[in-house]
Amino acid sequence: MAEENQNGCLIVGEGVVLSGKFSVPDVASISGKIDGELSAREIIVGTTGVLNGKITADVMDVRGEVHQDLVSNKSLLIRSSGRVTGTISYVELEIEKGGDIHGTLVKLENKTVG
Amino acid sequence: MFSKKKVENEGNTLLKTDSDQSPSEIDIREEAARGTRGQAMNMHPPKIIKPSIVSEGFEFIGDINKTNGPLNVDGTISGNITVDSISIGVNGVVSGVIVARSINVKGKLSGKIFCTEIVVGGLSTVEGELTYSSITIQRGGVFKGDLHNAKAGTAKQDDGLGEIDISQFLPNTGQAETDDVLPGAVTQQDGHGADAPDK
Repeated sequence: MAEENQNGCLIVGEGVVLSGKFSVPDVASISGKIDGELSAREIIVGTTGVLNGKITADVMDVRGEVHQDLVSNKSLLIRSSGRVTGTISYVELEIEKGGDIHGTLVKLENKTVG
Repeated sequence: MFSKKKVENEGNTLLKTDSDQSPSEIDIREEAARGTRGQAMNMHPPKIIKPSIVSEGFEFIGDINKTNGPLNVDGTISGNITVDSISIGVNGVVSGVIVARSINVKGKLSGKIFCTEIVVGGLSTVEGELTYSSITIQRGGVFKGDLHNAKAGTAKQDDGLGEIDISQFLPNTGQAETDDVLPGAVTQQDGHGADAPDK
């Protein structure tokens, strides 16, 4: 996340609690807590990050928790510390050993995966 | 092959004495290798159990029960399968109710699945309802359906899946029958003791 260009990025630090609807054009890096709707090109959920609500992203990397509704249009990676519950729609999925996933998985037809 | 044997039998009668000795030697060696000699058996209880193999092109419909040792599938199986560990090869197709300690999928798996550990390979497809304790899905692996984490505990109770206890497929849990405690034993507490202090 040490990207020089932080245009269109959202960084939520640990301890920060947000609720509402968020639309992030680029990368959202979440170590705090978000309730509501979040869409971004890429979402990185840190170990302390918690997302509740409808989450949409192309690329997702989950080390923390994601609950309810998750849509990943490109790739979804759940790390060993990740916890995901709810309805999970994905194109490409990877779960590391120890990753916790609970709910319904829906495979989306890949439109743009090359 | 046969002709060779004949020649040996006819010509080399002297060798017979050698061959008579060798079996016992082999036995000893085998026993040593298995660790089944005397007390050694207790010291090294786990042995490598040979896998059962359903090879490519073989189609099997029915139930399989194999509480120890692996099952390797490259063919097609449908039915109720209870095994310690199952490994489904690239061409393997397994469907039905699968209860296993460990599952390794490289092919296709569908149905109702209960396991402690599952690894879904990159080119494989798993469909249905899966209850697990530990899951790994490699990149590209496809899972369609419901996932329940047995550790969470909620899945078992809510879905009424509790009847199947995955832990029983863990190794070294012998099928020890639960000792029924006599109901009378607990209720035999008497109140006589209370009378004694009064006097």
